[in-house]
Amino acid sequence: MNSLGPTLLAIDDEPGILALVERFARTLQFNVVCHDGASGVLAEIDELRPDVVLVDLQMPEINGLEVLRAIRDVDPECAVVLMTAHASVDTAIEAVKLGALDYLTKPLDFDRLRGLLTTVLKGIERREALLEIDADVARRFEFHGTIGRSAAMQDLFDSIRRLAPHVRTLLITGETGTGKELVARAFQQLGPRRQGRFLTVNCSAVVDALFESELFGHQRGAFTGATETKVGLFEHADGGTLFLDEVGELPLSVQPKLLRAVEYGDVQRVGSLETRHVDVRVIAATSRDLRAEGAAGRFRSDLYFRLNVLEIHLPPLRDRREDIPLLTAAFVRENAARLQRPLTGVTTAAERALQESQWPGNIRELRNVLERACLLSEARILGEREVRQAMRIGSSAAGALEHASAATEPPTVGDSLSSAQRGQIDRVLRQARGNKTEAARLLGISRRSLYRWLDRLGHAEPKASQPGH
Amino acid sequence: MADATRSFDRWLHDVRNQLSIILGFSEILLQELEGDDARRHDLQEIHDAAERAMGAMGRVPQKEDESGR
Ligand SMILES: Nc1ncnc2c1ncn2[C@@H]1O[C@H](COP(=O)(O)OP(=O)(O)OP(=O)(O)O)[C@@H](O)[C@H]1O
Ligand SMILES: [Mg+2]
Repeated sequence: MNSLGPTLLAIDDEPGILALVERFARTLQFNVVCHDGASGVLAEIDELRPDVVLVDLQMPEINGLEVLRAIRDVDPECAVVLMTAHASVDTAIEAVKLGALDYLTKPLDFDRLRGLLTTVLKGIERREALLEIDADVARRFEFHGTIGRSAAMQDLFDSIRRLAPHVRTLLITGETGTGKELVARAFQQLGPRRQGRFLTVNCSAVVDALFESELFGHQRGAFTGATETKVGLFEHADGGTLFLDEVGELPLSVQPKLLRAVEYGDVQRVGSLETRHVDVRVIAATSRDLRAEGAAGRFRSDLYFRLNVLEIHLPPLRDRREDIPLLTAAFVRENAARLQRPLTGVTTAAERALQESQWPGNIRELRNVLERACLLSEARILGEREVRQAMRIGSSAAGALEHASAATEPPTVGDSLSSAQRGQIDRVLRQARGNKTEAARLLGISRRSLYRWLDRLGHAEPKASQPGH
Repeated sequence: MADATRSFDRWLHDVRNQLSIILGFSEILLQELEGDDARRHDLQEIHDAAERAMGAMGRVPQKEDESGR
């Protein structure tokens, strides 16, 4: 919808009152959306994410208190003001109990209404000022793309700064998504090799049989299929840095050769007797406990000790929660720039939700959650609901749906999917401009299960365009 | 009897609603007009009349007859 300025939703069965509220609120720079009855309004609130709702108490189909209750359910952060031509103490008390911001009698007292709307505006401004500060702080506490102001991260930046110019080998450990690759790049940036190449090999993605040739190259004819002589990554990286990601996945058979390459810079192409000398800085990363792998015989201890000359450990995000606001600010701004929307950050309640999560996927997970939340949101400031929704799609919901759609029997149309989920999928699809692969990625589900989901929602989607299952 | 009360209440509600629209718009316009605008006087008359009508609504006899006295 409109992304500039706060949004006010007015609900009244009397068009004249709607026109009046609209006229007045516009003078205070609100975007105003009017609704002449309560039916369908809840779905609209979901879409619109208004900052404030003015709702009439007496409407034919529905009581304003019911609307208030429903809004509080859908979006507890939305300010709700009730209006009535017929004040009663009982309803006023009930309204306040249900969390209404105020209760106005008609004729509307414009000074009072102005006061209320100004309070709402001020609250938004205050929050935006705070978010601006977070973003500033994030910029100040950024170290070569890595953000962190926690003591752990500050110490880590210090070590990198001091050691990067001198260290030839480095082992970076930490759970998935903690920023191992970022740190590897920072190391390279600060070291003497910043001009040299930075090559990455993801050890979990290489077929065992091809590892040796990948790292060290091969001679033409060395094995079936070796039709050309190939230069390995070590030779390519000569004078630069080789990043061995997921080094714990490296097959045992290649490990002695790797040790020689790391220790002496000696490499030998497969099928060649000639030893070549290279000057390569090796940075290895793993989310496994290599010492335990060594004890279990899955990783050579000598290689481990050689890589481990210097070890940098990245703590999981749940152990440095004070970094969450800064990371959040940075990621929201990044999405704002990419989506070209004036998103400024998250509400206080949303921030609390982010603070409470365990983040098994660490910073990568936080980043994905915020990316999804940015797509789900229509507002300038992401609310608790979008954030929780995004966290749910990321974890249990996606898993459950993935699971449900993996069942062999065709899904029943219209069963257990909530309207919120429908809305979510629709919105993500729209954001992805109908590109289902992109939409599936954003939802954190497979393309295939997105199709089943759509089927289940009874989406008007020509069957012919579906890929064969 | 209860039906009559209900429809009377609804009527009261509707009239107040309409009056508050007249009042509201005339207040907004009064605020926006330049101080020396010639139409200010007319507008003020509309506004005041609506206010008086609203006041009169408040004095509508509130069915003591029904309370059984
Ligand atoms: N401190 C940080 N500041 C900003 N962004 C970060 C930070 N740490 C991680 N990220 C971001 O989180 C994502 C994951 O980081 P990265 O790929 O470095 O993690 P990893 O430890 O290598 O994970 P894995 O073990 O799964 O490969 C990236 O998008 C990265 O930019
Ligand atoms: Mg990685």
